[in-house]
Amino acid sequence: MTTALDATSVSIEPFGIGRKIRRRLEEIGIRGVAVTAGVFVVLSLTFVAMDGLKLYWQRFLDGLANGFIYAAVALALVLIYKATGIINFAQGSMAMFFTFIAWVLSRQQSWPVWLAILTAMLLSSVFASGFERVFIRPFDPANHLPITIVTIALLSLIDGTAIYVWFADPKAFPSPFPSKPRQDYVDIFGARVFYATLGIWITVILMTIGVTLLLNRTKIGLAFRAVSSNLESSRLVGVNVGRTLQFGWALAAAIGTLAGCLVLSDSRTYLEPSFMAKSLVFAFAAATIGGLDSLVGAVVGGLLVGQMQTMIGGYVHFIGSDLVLATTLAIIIIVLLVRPSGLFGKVRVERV
Amino acid sequence: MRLSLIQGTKQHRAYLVGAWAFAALVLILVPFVRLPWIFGNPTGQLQNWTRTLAFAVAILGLNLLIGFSGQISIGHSAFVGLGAYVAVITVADHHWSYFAALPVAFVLCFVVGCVVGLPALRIKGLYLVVVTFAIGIVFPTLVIRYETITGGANGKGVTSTIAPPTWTSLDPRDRMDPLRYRYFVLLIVAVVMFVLARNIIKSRAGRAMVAQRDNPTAAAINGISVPINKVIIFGLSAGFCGVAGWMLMVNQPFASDISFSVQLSITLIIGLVLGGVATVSGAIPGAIVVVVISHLFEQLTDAKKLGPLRMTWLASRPGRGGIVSMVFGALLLIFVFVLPGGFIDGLRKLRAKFVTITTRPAWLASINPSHSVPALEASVVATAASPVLADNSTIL
Repeated sequence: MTTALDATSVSIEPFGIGRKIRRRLEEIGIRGVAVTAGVFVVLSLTFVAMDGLKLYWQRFLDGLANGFIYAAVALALVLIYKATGIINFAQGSMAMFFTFIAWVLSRQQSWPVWLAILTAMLLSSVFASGFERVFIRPFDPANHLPITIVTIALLSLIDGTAIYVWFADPKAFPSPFPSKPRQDYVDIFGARVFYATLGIWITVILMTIGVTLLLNRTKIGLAFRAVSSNLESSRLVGVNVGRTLQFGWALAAAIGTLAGCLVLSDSRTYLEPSFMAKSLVFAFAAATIGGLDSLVGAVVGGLLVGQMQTMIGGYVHFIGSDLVLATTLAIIIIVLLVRPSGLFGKVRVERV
Repeated sequence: MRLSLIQGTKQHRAYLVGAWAFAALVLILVPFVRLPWIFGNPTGQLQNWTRTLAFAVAILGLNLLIGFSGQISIGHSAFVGLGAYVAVITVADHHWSYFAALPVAFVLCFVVGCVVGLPALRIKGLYLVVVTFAIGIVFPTLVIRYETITGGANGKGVTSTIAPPTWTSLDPRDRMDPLRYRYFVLLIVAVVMFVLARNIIKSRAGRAMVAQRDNPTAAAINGISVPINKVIIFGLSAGFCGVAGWMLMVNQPFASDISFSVQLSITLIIGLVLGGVATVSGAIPGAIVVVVISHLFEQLTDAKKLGPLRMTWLASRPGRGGIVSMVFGALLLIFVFVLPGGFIDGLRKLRAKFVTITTRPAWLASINPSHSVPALEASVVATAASPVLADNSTIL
């Protein structure tokens, strides 16, 4: 619908986290980030003054664990948005379905957990690339409505299949991290950090580094950056656009599946057909707050939303845990009103 | 056999009157006809038809937004829910009549819709989709949070319903008659909403809406205030959904948080695409398909209501509820590829096999109203007169 042409689409920008941050800070004039950081510091000091440093530190680390998961799901959403210009509403459902596959492999076929997860990631990539080829590619990439509707159809189809095959009763997912009762945590400056939490941090950080390297140091990564920067021009210089977008879908599906398995490595969450819904909403929030077309934005947004969730739920008592979601989303709407393309998103210039 | 008609002639008018009369007859006869066992017992059948009317109005409202103004929303379940709760709360706690709640539901949803649409002034495209998604997700949590007003997860119901007045000579204690009366009341509301929608679309505001969908910059250059247009249309579609929520409550006065989850929005979008994007009449087949399919699978899988078409293998599965979603998803995929214009487009193509209607501009009709136009001239005129904005089939 929007015939947006990038005014600044001449150069292909590197995706590297370090370079990206530096360039973005120059581009957006540090202000948005500075304001966000300032608000965060002021609120943190207030919270410390309220209930003491120890509780704050514990909540901060808890929020970080949630934040890394949201960052992972948001990363998957952003990859698809960069590739196809749409939001994949089926992202959460795909992740849920292939987490079930990992569960089937590890529990029913008794494979090692990590092998099961890797196989599920691989299968999800194969599925996503097949789906892209059959159901997404026939449509004009500039026309968003039919593609969005196809993703909604996929969501309905996958959710229905999962409910039909595995029913709605919750199942325990084997944790990929050490989880012996009472010996499953380390002490970091007086706060209790579970191995599972630590594992989530490390896995997501490694995954982000991996994705960054993949996009910056490989040929297909270069093609992906070219296509997401300017589809028409990259087609003209000989990039196989279809294949590249397919790669984007496959990568996003694998990341989503990994994120789904990570959500469950926290022993309080059980596997059921709707377990991704909450993470998906917060990941949407994260991707939006960071800017839908920015990988850095997805990670930063995820961490921010994770903090918001724990801090609002923990400290702002009149809101309470019921309305955390509503408050987070209200904050997002405010952020969007001030910066319509998110903190790190590219400000688009429309040309007629 | 092929029927050839020229727009504006007596034959054409007779054809139109006949078609409308047939549609009216069908709608009036619906509550008196008994369909086979598969559609359930007579009261259930009639309640489902009434439900279809409510769904049609909701889909119509959503179509104003998605089809005609090009903004995607997956949060309209919240507005249906808001309308429903307005009806239930005012009637149950404040002893209003249902009819007093109707305008309140419309106006409140319109205002809330405008406020929600306000970010549209700044937020473009897919960022707005995320905002609507957020609203759809948040609504059920608000219902739970304000349990004292809404009844929370236990739901809230009303014991009083709309009873037929004496002049209708319908028996209020009969099993079917009150349902029939409610069907006709809601039919009138639905017809009013459809006429309203049609008139909005054919009016200046509607053309502005379609123009800003197809090319916002060109629309702005032509003097359309795109932001105001978008906000108003968001409010209007929310108002339509509010009325639909009210209608659902008149039919079966019980509301709970799960009945207005994002799943409802997805169901509405499915009905919208199956019926036909950017059509007014598409809301009717869309609603019928959505309601009938979900009802049929409920029937087929319910052990007590199986009937001759026994699907025991399905009825014994705990996950049988997933079947409806699977069927919807598959239907949606099939339609997007095979019949992107939806049922209405299919019907139009079917009609074109039997009836040709040649358009004729108004000036020609005023010069020579009774004579038919020669074929060549008619085809030339038809191409020249075909309105640019009328072609909605290209958006899908």
